[in-house]
Amino acid sequence: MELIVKNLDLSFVSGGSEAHALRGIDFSVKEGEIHSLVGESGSGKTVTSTAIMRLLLSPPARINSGEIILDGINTLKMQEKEHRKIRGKKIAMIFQEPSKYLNPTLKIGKQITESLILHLGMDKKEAVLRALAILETVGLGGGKRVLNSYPHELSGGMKQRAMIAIAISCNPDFLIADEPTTALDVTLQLQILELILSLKEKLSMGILFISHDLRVVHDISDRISVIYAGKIVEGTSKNELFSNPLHPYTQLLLKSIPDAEKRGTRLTTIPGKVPDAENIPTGCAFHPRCPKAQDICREKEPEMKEYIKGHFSACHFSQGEGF
Amino acid sequence: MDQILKLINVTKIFSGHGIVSSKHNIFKAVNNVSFNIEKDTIFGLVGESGCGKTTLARSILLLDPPTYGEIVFLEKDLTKLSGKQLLPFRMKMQIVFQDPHSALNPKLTIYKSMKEGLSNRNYPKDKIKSRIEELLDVVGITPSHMYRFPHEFSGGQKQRIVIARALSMEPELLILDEPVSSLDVSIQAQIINLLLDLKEKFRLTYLFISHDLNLVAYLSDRIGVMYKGRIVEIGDTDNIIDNPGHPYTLKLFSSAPGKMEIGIHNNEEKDDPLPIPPDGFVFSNDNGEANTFKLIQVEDGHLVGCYKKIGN
Repeated sequence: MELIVKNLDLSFVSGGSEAHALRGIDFSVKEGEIHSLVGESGSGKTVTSTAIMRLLLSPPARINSGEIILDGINTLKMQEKEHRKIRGKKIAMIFQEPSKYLNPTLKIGKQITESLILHLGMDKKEAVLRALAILETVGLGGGKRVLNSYPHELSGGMKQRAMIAIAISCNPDFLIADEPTTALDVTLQLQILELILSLKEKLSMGILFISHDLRVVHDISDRISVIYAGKIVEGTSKNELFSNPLHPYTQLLLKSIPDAEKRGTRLTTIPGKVPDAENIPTGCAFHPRCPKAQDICREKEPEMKEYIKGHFSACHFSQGEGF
Repeated sequence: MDQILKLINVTKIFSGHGIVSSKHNIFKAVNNVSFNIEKDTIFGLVGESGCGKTTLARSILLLDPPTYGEIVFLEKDLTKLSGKQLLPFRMKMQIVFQDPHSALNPKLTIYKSMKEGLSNRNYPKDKIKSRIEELLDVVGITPSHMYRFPHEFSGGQKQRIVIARALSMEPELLILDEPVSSLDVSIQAQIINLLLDLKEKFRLTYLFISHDLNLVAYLSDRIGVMYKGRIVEIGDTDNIIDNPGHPYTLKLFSSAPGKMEIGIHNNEEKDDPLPIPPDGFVFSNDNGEANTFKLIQVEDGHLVGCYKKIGN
């Protein structure tokens, strides 16, 4: 089973202006794999994930082309009614701020059993038993108390666990985790990352992990795609990406991370900032910030090529063993 | 070397009772914190949210005066000074907050925001404009943009403006409270480099507060680890990284993402063994008997907090 996003191109249109948020996104997530999408804010990470979940309001969102294939079926062709049957059941999502996405007026128990009753047709008693088991899985032992709690009675880490419990309640094949640890402290972050890893292993879920933090991505991913200005610029396995980054953007991102070993030296910086989706530079979108940019970069958009087996990069000057 | 800031037993207690219950609650947000910051150095303060980092920063600036303890800045105990006497010291000590969006008045142009401080310290009127241009230039903002409003700038640019405004007071100590946490990775590096350049240029001293251990380890000369209102470990950066003593420091280090890159605890062939607490004491995360907490020196300038063992 595989989640495949093919050449997804999406714009936000309002009034006369058009923001080209995604410009042909390609990647796939396999069962039992964590695939990370890493990039800076405004690069299109969250748009990609909300497009997969069909949570974008349309208009202003407009899908220009592309396919989102889940289990062999192009979900973009589905009617809303059909899509509702797979959302939450086959593919679920967790968000950065659990307090925003949990319903403050409903007890956690109600929020978990809701989808069990809807998707799996359980009766209430069954659903409660299953909810208790799920809470155990996400490390909220003593589940009875949690079931009867409102979100405000839980701490930040517990809320994130509760949201994960809701997401995995119907045993989905795929989980999208959109910056799930960004709002948490380091020690809690580790716990949630470990929980996500255990979900991958125990339930062999395919996980699309979205983050801006390369260090977190390093700890959790099997494969990584780097996204810049609505396009994947590099994609490969974790070890390959960290040991042999091919795209200048990835190289610079890795160099700009501070750590103790770089003490006494200046960090490598990327001049400028991420371009506006309404105003994407011509040619390679990264060229205004790229130290290696030549005339060709301004004129021609580089294609994604496989330079080393399983290692793709979209740069005119990437070099590998070649094919 | 000169000590620019000396904290002696700084304690901040918040007290009060709830809306319903009349029980009087006492909370020690900062508990007996003592450390010194030497001139021209960067002192990194790490800890998780709620440990008292920001309360301590606010206490040092006397925005929230400490309940007791001494804050000796430029050899004067600030807690004993009146508001008026404080003024010159306040200028010498500036703070940059985490969120640049809320640190700038949205209704004022950058020029007006920056002019306010300069006028208040009686800067010659005819030189204010050129001074602002100069400061903006130093932090990498085009001076001609000074008549723009904050919303016309990006987060990174706003943080640069906030830093320029702090510099306008010609401070000696800059308290940086998570100054890059809300910024993107590539922008973070730009601001960090800017801070390092400014430090050299103006011979500044930084108190750098952050929850990001990698960042603090990269920047600081000395590190203090804060936990539940207490400094539980303090020492030179190398000592803290190579030879952490307190269990909480260890926990923070092992939780920090991207261990590959710092390679701290994966390193099996460490020469120095972990520090050993003296007889009868234990390095512990638990709050033991409050009055038995003390910092013990394990090597030169490296202190680790421990509790007296109870009973056996």
